[in-house]
Amino acid sequence: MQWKPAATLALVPVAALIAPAVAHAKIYVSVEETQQRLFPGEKLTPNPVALTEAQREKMRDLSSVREPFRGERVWKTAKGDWFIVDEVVGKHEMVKYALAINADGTIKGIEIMEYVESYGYEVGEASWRNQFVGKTSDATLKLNKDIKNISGATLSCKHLTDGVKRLMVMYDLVLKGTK
Amino acid sequence: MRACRPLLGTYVEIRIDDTDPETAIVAVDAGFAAISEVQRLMSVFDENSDISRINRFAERFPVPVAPWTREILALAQALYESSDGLFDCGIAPELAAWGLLPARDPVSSRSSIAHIRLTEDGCVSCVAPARLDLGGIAKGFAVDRAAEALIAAGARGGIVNAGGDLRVFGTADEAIYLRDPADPTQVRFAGQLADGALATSGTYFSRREHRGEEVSALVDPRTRRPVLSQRSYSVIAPRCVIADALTKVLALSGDTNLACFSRYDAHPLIFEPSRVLP
Repeated sequence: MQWKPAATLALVPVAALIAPAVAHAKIYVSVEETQQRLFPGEKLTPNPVALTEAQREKMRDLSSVREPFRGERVWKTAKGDWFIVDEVVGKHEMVKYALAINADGTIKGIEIMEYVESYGYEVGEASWRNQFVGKTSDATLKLNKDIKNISGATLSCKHLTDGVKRLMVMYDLVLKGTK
Repeated sequence: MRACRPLLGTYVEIRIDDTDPETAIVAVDAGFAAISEVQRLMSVFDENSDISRINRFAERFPVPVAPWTREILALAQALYESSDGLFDCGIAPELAAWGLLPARDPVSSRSSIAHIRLTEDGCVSCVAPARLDLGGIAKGFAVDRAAEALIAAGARGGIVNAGGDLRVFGTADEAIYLRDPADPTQVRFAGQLADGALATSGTYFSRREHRGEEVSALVDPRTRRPVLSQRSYSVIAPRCVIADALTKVLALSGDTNLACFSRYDAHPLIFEPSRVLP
């Protein structure tokens, strides 16, 4: 291990952080790359969905996500699995993510595509992603019962939870019936 | 290559450098799989995790656990000893009482990690109440396991960062930034780290009102009261599990000269907020 402290921090027991602030790191992964991560070697075809106002309202009601969902960001594999790109906006951060849903309606995976990191430590050690993997939309919808969102979870975690939830509502309303 | 997934209740980021893309993509999955496994074994939000089963049954009969769970418990006990009881994972009853963990049956007397026994045949038993929450150590442990999995899969260098608990591996220097405890959206340069780990604890995120009282996720095991300091506490150490655990020792003692820091080859750092919080 090698640690070289910043000059302003060296040799003082309690330091004030007086060095200049820097911009936040942001990760960025393209749609194509994310598709390959979630469905390696598989071909995905665009499968845009047009949502009715009633469907949008239901997604809003059941997830409390207000930003409009962009129906053109839906893809399908030959096996009938789904790949959806969405974004949620928290108080301090934006998270763009992809959700992969297996043909049987269970969640295959979640990958963050863009993330402006502003919070991190506040979230407890919750079982988080595993709460989703393998769940169907029925299970996912009962947020308070099934998804043990940590007490005092971050805005970012909460918003992502809500985002996944609204996509599962959309799956239920629109994608599930399509062959 | 960089990838970010929601795990451990936070955003876990893995970056791999100097490695061919095919190797990197396999390594990233191995890294996240290791973190998922730690979460599966140790989350108290999962009723079937090893830790949840210990909390529920170990007072009545020995509970068989996975090797990683044994390893982290042995380390948590060693840290308890070398910190004179400042690091104690037996604070789940307090966190539950403050609404920060799922509620369980109340304990009859004080809970402590000192009450658990690791048996020869891979089981855990308790001689007195031990309701564990590994929130102060499991994230660091997961980061270490991920870094090992990445290296084993052929990654030559990079970083694993689980919401601020991070491990740099390989030979390159990594610039490390810390959040300002007064304004967590602001980060500041703290130094350069190669082949090592850093973790930070602060209560500014976990602090909340519970029945008219201010509480936080950081419990003083001596007084069983929440720590409400406005400073942040960082520890640099060779392993992230050590850095993670020792941030709690630093926050509780406020003393950068404790023997356990040098014993674990750790560098403690305390930060004042840049301005006084309201």
